[in-house]
Amino acid sequence: MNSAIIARTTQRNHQILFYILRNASSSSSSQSTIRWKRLAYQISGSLLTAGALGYAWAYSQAVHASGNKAHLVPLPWSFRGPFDSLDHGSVRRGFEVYKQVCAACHSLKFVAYRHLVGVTHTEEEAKTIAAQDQITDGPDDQGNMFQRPGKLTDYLPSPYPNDKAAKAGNAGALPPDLSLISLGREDGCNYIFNLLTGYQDPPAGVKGEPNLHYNPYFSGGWIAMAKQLYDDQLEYSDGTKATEAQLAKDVTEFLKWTAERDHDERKKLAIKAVLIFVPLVVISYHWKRVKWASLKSRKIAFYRPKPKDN
Amino acid sequence: MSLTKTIYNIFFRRSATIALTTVVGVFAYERIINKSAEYIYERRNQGKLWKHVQPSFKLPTDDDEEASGSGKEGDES
Repeated sequence: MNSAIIARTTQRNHQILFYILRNASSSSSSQSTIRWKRLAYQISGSLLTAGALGYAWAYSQAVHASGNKAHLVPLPWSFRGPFDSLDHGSVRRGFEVYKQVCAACHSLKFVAYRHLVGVTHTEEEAKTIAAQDQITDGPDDQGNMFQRPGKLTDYLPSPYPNDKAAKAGNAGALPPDLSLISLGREDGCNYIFNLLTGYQDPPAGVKGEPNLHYNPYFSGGWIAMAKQLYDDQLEYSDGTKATEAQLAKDVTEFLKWTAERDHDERKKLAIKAVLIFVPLVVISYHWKRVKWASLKSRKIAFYRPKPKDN
Repeated sequence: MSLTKTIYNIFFRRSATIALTTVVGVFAYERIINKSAEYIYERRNQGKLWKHVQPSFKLPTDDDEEASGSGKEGDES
């Protein structure tokens, strides 16, 4: 489009801008080619975008093939919403379940006793708990490792000194570290709860190895871990009735905390983010519209110059 | 509106007062945001946070033994 701006009104607030363009092409043939071009670009662009998005969606669907394990039952966790915190009473009970049931085989090597302070226990309680465990400490003057009672700064001790010892003690199967297990499994919390409470007799005719146990929520259905949670297996320190479901729920909530220790702070920050950004966005949008008002309300006038007689 | 005009004349006419208004305003805004976020968060999560839970977990040596804490009935999900 050949055109030149040959006049423009002076700009003042709230006044209409007036552009006068010369030689602006207004013939119908070039206008229709422009229209067809624009239409072609729009159609091809939207087809490309829809195709790319559809391909990405279809590619991601392959991960969720129904495959070799049962669908999980989604549960109404107390921390499900975007602003919901963990239930700290439940996390504390979960720690007791871990200590009395799971710590025999599973390590929790990224959690230190000091992490419990202010989350599930007071400082004195955490010190008492730490002192009950024996921690392997560095070589003494003779070069030997020795055991000593734990301190707040220690990390929780592993039941086995290394992975090979763990496998040897569990018929060749390595009990995974539980610190990040709720992040390391798809739909972690639902998976852990369903797995722990999902032990059942295999369907008729389905056979596994003799030292494997049937659990439909485990990939393949045969898991090396036996059922660990039973009703009234332990006594909670706050008197809650220790049913199997309660034990599973508490230990799952505890494992959610070990994987995401910043969870509560993060969700409080989400509230702050909303409180800050919503007014800012509204104000920014208003200011943009004010500043652009003169441009958005301008008028453009065309004229075709008279043909020169020569 | 004469209200905006008054505000402009007092706060936004001189750059020095603009700067002062910004500093005081940011400080006040941050305090308000932090307090409101904490209030909303604690209201929404009543009974779950450590400060609500902790009083019911007293060491047996400290006080008389607490058999069960407040709201600690076995809630199964």
